[in-house]
Amino acid sequence: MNIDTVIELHGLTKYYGPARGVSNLELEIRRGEIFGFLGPNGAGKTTTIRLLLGLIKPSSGSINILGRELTGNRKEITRDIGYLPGDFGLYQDMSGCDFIFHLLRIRNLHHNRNAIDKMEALIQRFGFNLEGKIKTYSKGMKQIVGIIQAFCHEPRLVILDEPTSGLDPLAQEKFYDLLWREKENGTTIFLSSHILKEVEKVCDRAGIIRDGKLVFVEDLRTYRSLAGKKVSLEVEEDSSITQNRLQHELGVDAVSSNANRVEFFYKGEMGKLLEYLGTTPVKDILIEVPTLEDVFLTYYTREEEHA
Amino acid sequence: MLRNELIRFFLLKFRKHVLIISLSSGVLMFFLTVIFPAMARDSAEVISSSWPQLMKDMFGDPLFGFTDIYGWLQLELFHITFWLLFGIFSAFLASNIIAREYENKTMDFILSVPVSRPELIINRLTGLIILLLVSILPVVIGCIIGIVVLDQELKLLPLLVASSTGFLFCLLYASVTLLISLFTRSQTLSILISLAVFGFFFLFSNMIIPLIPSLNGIAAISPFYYYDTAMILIHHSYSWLNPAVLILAFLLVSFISSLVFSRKDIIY
Repeated sequence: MNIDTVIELHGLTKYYGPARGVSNLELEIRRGEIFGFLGPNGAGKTTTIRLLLGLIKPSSGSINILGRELTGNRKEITRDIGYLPGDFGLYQDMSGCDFIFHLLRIRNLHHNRNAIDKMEALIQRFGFNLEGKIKTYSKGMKQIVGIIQAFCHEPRLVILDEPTSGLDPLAQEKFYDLLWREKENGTTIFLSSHILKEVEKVCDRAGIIRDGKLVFVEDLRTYRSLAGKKVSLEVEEDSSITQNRLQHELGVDAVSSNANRVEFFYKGEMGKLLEYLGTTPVKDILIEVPTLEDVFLTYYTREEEHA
Repeated sequence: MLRNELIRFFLLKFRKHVLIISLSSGVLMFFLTVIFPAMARDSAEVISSSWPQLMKDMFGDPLFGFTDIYGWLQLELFHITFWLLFGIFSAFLASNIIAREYENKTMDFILSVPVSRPELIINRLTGLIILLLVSILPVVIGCIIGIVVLDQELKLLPLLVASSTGFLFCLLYASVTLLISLFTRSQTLSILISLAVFGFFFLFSNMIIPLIPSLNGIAAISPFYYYDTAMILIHHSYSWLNPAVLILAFLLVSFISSLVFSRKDIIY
């Protein structure tokens, strides 16, 4: 295991009885990176996170976190982990500050000046008063409490499940800024989300999970060049441009089409594409850099077609 | 193993409940004590002879209950009221150890900090023991004040032994509720099921066994077999075996709960 590897999963599989949770996950996450974990509801994102925290036990495979096998070392490992669950409750009769302090006390960090300063700085950053009882808080304020408790003990790894749920755009920006600052300090962040723009904006790498299997793991700085260009053609309804022809003549592998629109990813030479389009009757052409959403949807539609 | 914050949290969370329970039960026990009828033995014999044996088995014998203050306390307090009141309260506390965290969806936070699952159970059970002790103490004080007000002879030992046995019985009640709550993950359901279990054992020990003497051989499976306050308060007979069995049963059920919880997947 590389010294810079913070999370290492090998053949990680979880079944709930006969029902599939996740299957044969292979993944390495390096120190100081923000890793986006994408997938629709029910794909296996939360199962993976619960496995990482030892809340559920794997059916097979191994989980190494911060250089240690999770099984048998969960208690020691959680000292260095911050966690924000996707669907959580708080003690309604406590104040937000008391709740965060309660968790710091359990961690035995209630006299730790750094942890207390960090807590105060984070409360100040988000600009909320967390002295009142939690039962009076809005959804966004509760989410802020969850975020602060995940970061205030200066963990080396932070696992976040849908962290911006309920946050207004301003608070979201403050949260993204927090992620970048934490990353600069060497904190590794595992961010599960179904908001593609969010992942594209803040993450270094992203993985897509579908039906419990990782179908895509890529560096977001390079995936665009690997994905090529997204080409959208508007054509006549009786156009001669067919899926087979595109695949045969341009070698594109992902094509989606309907009556008068054809979309595909093109990774080859631009000259060849333009030459081909010059000989083909098209009404309009749009060539653009694909977004993560395009990649995501491509993976999902392609897999569904294969299914 | 013992974590101050986990215990402190549990104590603070239920301080108001305990204050209400302890004060009201202390006052109730005082009044239950001072209404002691202090009948002459022959009058009590008449009443006792009019009661069918099954009723005496179920609710206690008025022969002792109406003539002796300690028999009265056994009849009015320890036979049913004590275990029912503090049993349900201890079940309520026990259902807060795990089931409440599931219902409130706060379990993820508690288990994402460096606390093992057995540690969580042990510390919260420690909090429960302290809360139950504080709740029961005013009952003893209420009885003592009542006995003194009535100018009856104060015998501390039977009163303390009966209360301690009742306390241990409630701990067992709590541990059974905790175990049930690991499967139901619902506070209300775990309290109701444990009440049904102990209600059944009460009927088993006080009605079924007297009715069907051939079942005597399995009488010891009931927790009520070890909660024999009539022997303590009326006959002043103290057996260390009964509290020892209650303690062992409490520890065993708590240990099983800890094992079950450690192996469970935490999913909502």
